[in-house]
Amino acid sequence: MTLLQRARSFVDPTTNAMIVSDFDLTEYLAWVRGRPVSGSGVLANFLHEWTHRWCFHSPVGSALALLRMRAACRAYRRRSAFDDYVRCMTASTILEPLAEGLALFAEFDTYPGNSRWMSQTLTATLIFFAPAVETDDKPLLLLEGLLQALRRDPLLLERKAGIYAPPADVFDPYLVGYLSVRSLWCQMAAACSELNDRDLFLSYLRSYLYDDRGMVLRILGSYPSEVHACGAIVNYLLSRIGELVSFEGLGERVELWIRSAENGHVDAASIGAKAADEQRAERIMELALVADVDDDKSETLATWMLMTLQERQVCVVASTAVDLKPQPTTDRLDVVVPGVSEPVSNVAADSIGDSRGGELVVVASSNGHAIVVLLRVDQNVTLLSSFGEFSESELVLAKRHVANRPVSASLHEEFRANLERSPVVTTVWAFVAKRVAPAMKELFGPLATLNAKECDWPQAFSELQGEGVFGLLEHDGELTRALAAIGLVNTFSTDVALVRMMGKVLGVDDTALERAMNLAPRHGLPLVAKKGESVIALV
Amino acid sequence: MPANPAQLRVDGLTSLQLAELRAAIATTGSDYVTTIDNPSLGGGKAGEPALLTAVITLGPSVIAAVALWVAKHRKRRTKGIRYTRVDPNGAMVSFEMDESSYDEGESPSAAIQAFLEKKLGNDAAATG
Repeated sequence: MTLLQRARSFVDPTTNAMIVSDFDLTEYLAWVRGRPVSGSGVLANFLHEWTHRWCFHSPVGSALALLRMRAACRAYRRRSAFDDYVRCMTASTILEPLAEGLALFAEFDTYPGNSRWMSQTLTATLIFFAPAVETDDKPLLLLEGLLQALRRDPLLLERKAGIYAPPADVFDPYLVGYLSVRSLWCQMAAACSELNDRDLFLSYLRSYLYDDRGMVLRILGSYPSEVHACGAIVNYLLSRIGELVSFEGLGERVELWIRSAENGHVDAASIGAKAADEQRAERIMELALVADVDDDKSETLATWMLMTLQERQVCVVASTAVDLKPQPTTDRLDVVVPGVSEPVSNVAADSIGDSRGGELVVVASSNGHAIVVLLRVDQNVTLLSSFGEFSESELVLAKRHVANRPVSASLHEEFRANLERSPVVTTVWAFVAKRVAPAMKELFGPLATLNAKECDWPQAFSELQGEGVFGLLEHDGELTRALAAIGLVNTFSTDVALVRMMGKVLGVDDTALERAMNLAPRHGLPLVAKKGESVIALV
Repeated sequence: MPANPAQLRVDGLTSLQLAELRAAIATTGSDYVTTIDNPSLGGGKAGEPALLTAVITLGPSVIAAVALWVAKHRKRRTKGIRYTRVDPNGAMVSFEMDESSYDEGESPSAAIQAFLEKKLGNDAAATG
């Protein structure tokens, strides 16, 4: 199997199903029993994919999932899916760089900071991957250890430097999105010192974009035509980002955001949204769900969409087929992964029917604060073990999801394939490309180059679109890696001596690192800031 | 160069690694590298950046250029990069390369070149 054939890690925005391609469930279950100190090879992908699913588990993510499902149902019933699909693709396309930027920021930059807030991504990382080591009630030390080990991994450096060298002359959502999020962080942290905490910044920006009911209203609202709907979505995001970079009242908003998020409900004012939009968005979601219900068949489809919207809250982290083998001296069955000698668990024989095979599934709670290990045998699901506090209602949901998953996943696949075969998809892509592409440049040009002066950004962005940061650095691969390395080390230190030391660990050329630390702006875009014995990468 | 030469397929490259490999091969005077487009995730899925594949038409100067590129990267972890010799008749042999694959001696690139010539066959080394 080539690496291209190897599945890439991803999150499906409709079902919020997450695939972390290098996650070995058997190995993980063996590790989780004792949680010994060991690095996790899957951490980079986990941080990236969990951040995606955290974004999609939101009012905006749910609205887009609903529209995508409704478009598929309409295509299946030979009704026009054009309007739904235009809205869905418009919003997904214009949000894509921000979604990728947030995920890459989680992978390369996020780190526990000074605020009392911790993002869902880092909380899940701590619960899923921290070793069982006594830290005198300072669990953050474990998280810091995990992230420091990740950020000095030469493989991660290669991954990050790869982002800086996108294919020539294409709008690359990874590069443009990452530079946008990173530039936003630099500017927002300068305007509000609380946001020097990268993890708080990640959480706030994610909330600003995805908890916004105003966007839900634009995605699902009534417009005279799909052209108007597309325009409303694009213009709304442009104005939202404009408000964000005005930094008006940012400190108060962030403080309000922390207080309200800690209580479990983000205050609309803290993200510059309107409180009145919350109820309107809820109502419009309900109406959208039943918009097509006019017979039994459409009622069944609406029920299926509702169940998906509920079940997409929980997350299957990994699953594998298992054999059930009777223990010689007890009435229990060993749960055995084929090809692995040691059973991963066991279960009472009388709780299982006559089947001798099943599926082992690890499911995370919606907020990533807990995981359960479930055994599915046919439609029956049994709890084998759990870590963290998994609420009773979410456990019921998780069991239902695991029981439904084989059928539901194939249905989603069938509906998706049917929609993608439909001529509407080609028409919509042409429509969206024509109408959204100019707005992408209008939005992301200034955003990705926010650290440049107003007069410099068009040239800097044009150069970036040509061949990325690699092009700005005259195609010097070593210099590109050195710049990427400074950013990785910056997650825990800006000290020049430490950057030099970590540069060696990362395999960066010494001369290139010295040059990178003293880089002058390119086309007006500053790439590093160095003051005394402190250096920070700005891209 | 024979009409239908063998090829070296390199899977699992980041776009920076691919750009550098291309530049290394370009020093031999011709563009012997083609890239294979990675399949899109489809269905609006959001995921990790794709890794890329380069297909290089083999020849002795090309092998030397690839060896230099590998030598430059040998101290970095390039875990996951996979090399495959593709014969004109479609036969394929895959291998991975790390520091244990060859005896470096005084010249890493010469050692890597010897290793590659062995893996890729004498015809690749002899023709060009």
